[in-house]
Amino acid sequence: MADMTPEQMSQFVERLTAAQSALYGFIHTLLAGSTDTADVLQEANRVLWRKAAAYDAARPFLPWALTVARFEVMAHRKRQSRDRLVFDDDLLGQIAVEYERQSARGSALHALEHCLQKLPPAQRELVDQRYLHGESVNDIAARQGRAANAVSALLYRIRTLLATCVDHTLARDEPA
Amino acid sequence: MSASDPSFPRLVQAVLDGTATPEQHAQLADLLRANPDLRSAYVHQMRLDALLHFKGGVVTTPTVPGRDPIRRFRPSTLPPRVALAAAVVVLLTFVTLWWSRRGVDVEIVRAAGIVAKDWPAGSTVRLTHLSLPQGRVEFRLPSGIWLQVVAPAELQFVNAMHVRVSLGQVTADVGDRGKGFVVDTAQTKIVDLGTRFGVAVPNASHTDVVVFQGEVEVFDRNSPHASDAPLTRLVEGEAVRVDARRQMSRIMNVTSGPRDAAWSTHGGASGAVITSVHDNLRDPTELYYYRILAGGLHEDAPAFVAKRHEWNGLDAAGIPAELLGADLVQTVPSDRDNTALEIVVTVARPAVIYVLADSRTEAPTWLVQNFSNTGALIGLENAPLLASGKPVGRGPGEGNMAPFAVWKRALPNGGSVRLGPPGVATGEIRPWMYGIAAQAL
Repeated sequence: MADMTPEQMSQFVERLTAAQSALYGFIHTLLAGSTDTADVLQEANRVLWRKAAAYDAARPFLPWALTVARFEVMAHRKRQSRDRLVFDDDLLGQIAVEYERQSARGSALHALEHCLQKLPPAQRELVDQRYLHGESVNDIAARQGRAANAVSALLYRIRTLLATCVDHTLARDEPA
Repeated sequence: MSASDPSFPRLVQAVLDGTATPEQHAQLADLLRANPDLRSAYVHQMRLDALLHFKGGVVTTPTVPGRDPIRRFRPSTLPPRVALAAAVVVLLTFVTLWWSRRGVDVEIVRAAGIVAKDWPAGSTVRLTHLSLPQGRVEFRLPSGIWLQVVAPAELQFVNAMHVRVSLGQVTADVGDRGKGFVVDTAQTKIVDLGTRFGVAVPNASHTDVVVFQGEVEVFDRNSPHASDAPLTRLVEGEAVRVDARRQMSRIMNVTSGPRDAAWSTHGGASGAVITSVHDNLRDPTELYYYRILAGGLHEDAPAFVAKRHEWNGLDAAGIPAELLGADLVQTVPSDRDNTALEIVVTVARPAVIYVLADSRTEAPTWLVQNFSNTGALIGLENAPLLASGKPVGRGPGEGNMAPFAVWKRALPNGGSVRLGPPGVATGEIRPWMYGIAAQAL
């Protein structure tokens, strides 16, 4: 970092900040929803900060950050007992490639906001219950008098709809 | 298997919920390895799940240097490099706290006797955990649920519809918007069905659940299947204790002041003259409790548990003066037909015990032999059913009244007195269950 100017450091921090949701999603995906996700993200951020001087500002930030994060996931896996591992290194690589492909079009957070507004009210309410209020699927199902599997299936369909909508929105907004 | 196969969403949801077994993890890995479409669907699901969680977090994007929030923390003389380093510390700290700062925005309704917290009424605080060594706090959750927490208490606010209680006493008034509200303890998961109820966790050995109005379901907290039947369903006027082995036992007394909020299942510090009321019912399915209201006998006082009947003056003269402000026991109305009933009332200090007995029928022998009739009368208002939509009368002489004779017996040294069953029917008139009251001498 010694050879970075304050402006370069400022730019780096801004890019690292903007990449947080993608990095979190990447680690969440590779660790199959493990509760260790936040810890690994924190460690990845530390490593990225230490490597800041090696970053070529002329190149896209996210692919570089995802590569660093992937190594942190692998390092984390080595520290875990075998029974806590979900994916082996080969499968991890395949999933990482797919994640990079899906996130290559840019920041999905703004697109997601747009797509959430298009959801029917009942689906939007379910999303809010699950993600804004943090209710478990079982609690939602118990309150609505429905089977947990039915709520899971509906959430699955909503996430699929949102993913498609986010992709379309980002594709539409891409420069020609 | 394709992404539209119903078992794939279930597998993904199990992963997202953290409930997937090692076998399910292995099955998922095999599917993703073999099928690129499933791999794509899996990434879609996980990515959207993460984005939605990220969006639903307290802070959706961390503060960046050079923008206003950071400038507030940066003295003008601080070198830019130091300021940036500070910004990175902020960023890393943000990541660490990202999940842990999730919580619930609660409105402080009232706080009393608490220390080290400045919580004026009407203010809003975000809570994930609450550690309350002393005092009591009333909250309003975003779901509209009113909660009172009495110290010593340790709580976790999972979300606006879910609270975990490790220690302490919590009373919830759920209202219509809050149906489905969940309270977890070490032993139980209590699901509200639209009610006012209380949960007490005095230590790790047991949980007490008391229903003041409406209905709750009590589940085994550690039941492996969400679809398992509840341990029990409690309605208004019922209470249960669940111990570490999930054994249930009846709670015989709930003592409180005039309001539900200051209740106790072990007498507590309500100042009540009556320390306990016990009966000879042995049916393990009987979960009714006797409600002891310290100083609770006044106009419109509730006569029974789980009924709207009230004690009132028979006419404008009101309730007999010697009864006003006495401790009142809400008895169980269905005991009017229990010919083998025995109730033992205990007072810890010199007191007069009153029995309020239906005067339309002949007084039972045990009452005539052991108590004296004061000659005074009090009215029991036979309140209309809630479903009728008709209001309960307010004040003395209002509503459909039955006259009750006031009998009394002094216990100059405190102690216990044994009561028997209500009287027998005279003609077509069946006597109501009697009431019990006590005044300190």
